Amino acid sequence: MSSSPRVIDPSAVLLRRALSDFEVPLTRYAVSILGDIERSRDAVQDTFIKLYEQEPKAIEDKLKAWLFTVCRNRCYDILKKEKRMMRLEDDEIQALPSLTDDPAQLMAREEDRTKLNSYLRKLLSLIEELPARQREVMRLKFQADLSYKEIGEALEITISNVGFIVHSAFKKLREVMNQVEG
Amino acid sequence: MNIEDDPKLTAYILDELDRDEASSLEEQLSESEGSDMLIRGAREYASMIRGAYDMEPEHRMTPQQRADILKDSEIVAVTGTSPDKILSFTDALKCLDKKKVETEENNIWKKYFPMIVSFSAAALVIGIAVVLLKNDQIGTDAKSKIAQKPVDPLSVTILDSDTANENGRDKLSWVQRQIGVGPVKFPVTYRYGQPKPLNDISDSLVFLDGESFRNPAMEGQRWSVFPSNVSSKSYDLLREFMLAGDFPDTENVHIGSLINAFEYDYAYPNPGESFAVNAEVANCPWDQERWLIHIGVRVADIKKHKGKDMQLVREVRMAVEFNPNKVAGYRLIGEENPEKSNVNNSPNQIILEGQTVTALYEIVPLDGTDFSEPLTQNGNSELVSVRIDYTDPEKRGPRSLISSISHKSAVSWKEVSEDMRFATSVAGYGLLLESNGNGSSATYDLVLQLAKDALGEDKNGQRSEFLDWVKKTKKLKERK
Repeated sequence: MSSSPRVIDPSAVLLRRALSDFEVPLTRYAVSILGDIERSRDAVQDTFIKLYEQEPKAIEDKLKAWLFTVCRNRCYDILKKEKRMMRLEDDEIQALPSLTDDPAQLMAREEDRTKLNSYLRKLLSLIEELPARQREVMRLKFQADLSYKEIGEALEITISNVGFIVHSAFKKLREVMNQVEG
Repeated sequence: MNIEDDPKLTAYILDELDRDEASSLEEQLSESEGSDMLIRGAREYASMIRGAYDMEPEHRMTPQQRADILKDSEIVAVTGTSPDKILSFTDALKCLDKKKVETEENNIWKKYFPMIVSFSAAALVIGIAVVLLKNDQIGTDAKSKIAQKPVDPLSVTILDSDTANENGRDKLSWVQRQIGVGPVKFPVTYRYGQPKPLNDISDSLVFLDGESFRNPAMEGQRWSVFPSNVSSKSYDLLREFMLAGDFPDTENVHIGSLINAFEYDYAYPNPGESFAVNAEVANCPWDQERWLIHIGVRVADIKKHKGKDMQLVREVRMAVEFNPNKVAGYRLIGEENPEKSNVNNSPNQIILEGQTVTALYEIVPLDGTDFSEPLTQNGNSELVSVRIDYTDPEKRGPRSLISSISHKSAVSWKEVSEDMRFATSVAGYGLLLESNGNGSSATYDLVLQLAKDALGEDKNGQRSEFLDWVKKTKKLKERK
């Protein structure tokens, strides 16, 4: 069998690496802004298409921050277009983490596991009650694993501002959870 | 100012401070009593927050959207189908886009050499062998070096399968221990020599049959952290689909968490020890060129601790270091986000007492080695080492357990434990769902065959239930 050799494309390598590393965190992030999966998927797809058009050398060192920045801008473009700049309705937000029912009802799992699950669910619902800015920063830090610097770049705020927001949200959550516990 | 109210403390526990800032804060902390408790508590809390986010569904694009993104991008520079049809490097260069050759004439060799070689299984082997030639000597003695000097102010326990007893695979024996105190820093050292610097993104992956594997020879990729957090989400979701008689929506069924939702009969640690590492290596049933490494960790069970939620929780980080002199590429099955498996981005995770953690890696051996063949010459036979970093709640202070998995752990499918057989079956099923029957060489029949022989005691009927699911899914698929 004969076939002709094809050109190696560094952009394609970068694209594949970005897809395998960031598809899920980006889509989760987009869902947190847009509130529905369909539009989030489109925003993420647009982000990757845009990535492929970039000069890889210019991007590869700051890939993560670049992807989150572009994805975020894309999400807000979509919101603007649909004139839906208001915050997500609370019930929409609540619906996200609880796609599955309480596992305890579905089957009798190990007791500890269920306890931990319900603790984490409670924590997640508290996170979603934080003010919008704190919520976004917390998600980028704790779910997407961005550094303070990368978050600062994506949201166009200073690093110390990021540090302050994370600190306040972190402290607030601990206080509330301790009250719940106690 | 109360240190607890200082954003610097939060930045510190999230590893956001630079070295100077961190050491000046550490100095400040060492003067105040109970600060280590404070730090530990805050770190644990950070892990809980990450755990909370992990409860969310794993959203991703549709397969069609992914395909649309990739359809115009080509990365392959190979002709023909068999290894001997690969172009010589000179010929490959001649065939490259003329413009690129002109503008990048000077560094084109450097730039494309690693890519061209890595795009076919046979050539890949040569490329990495060349790249690694220098590292070879360092790797051989890595183990004895660790044994001689404490590599970090940290307690390190080395568990070595080379010196395991007769029933070595079932329960590895402790061979060495060093005690110390201090913060857990990662990576402490490389067992198999220094990784090569990553000059270009194309260094980072190797390709086999169009699938990408991480290249352990390269910086930042020697270690892979595998998740130890528990979630029955994927399992519960799959169960719902099956009860409703629907073909599973693969979007939210995550293979790694599905594998971990089942119970395994892994050996418990010896009294006084915190973890037992069970490991096996076998040829991958759906691809003869690959091998599977099955790692099963059992956490010690401390009954008296039952009670309040928080007491059940421990902070750990489990990772594998791959020997680049043996492994050309690796991939954690069901890995959702490889970025997370990078040690530098990997926070500690929470774990329950008595819990099991299962990780399955697909590896591509260097030189196409057949691990089931006995070693022909003496030398370092380690394939990977498993490392568990944890804080001991009773003895206090960070600790590490290192357990090496060697060539000798390789077994044929006849000898493979029921646990590995079953985990592999779940993995194969997950891959089938994920690829929707395209791409993966696993088949429903293969998955069924694997699971059928692996029911074991099946105390709670989980495994036979899984077998039913596979049969059901197969029928639903055929009807589609």
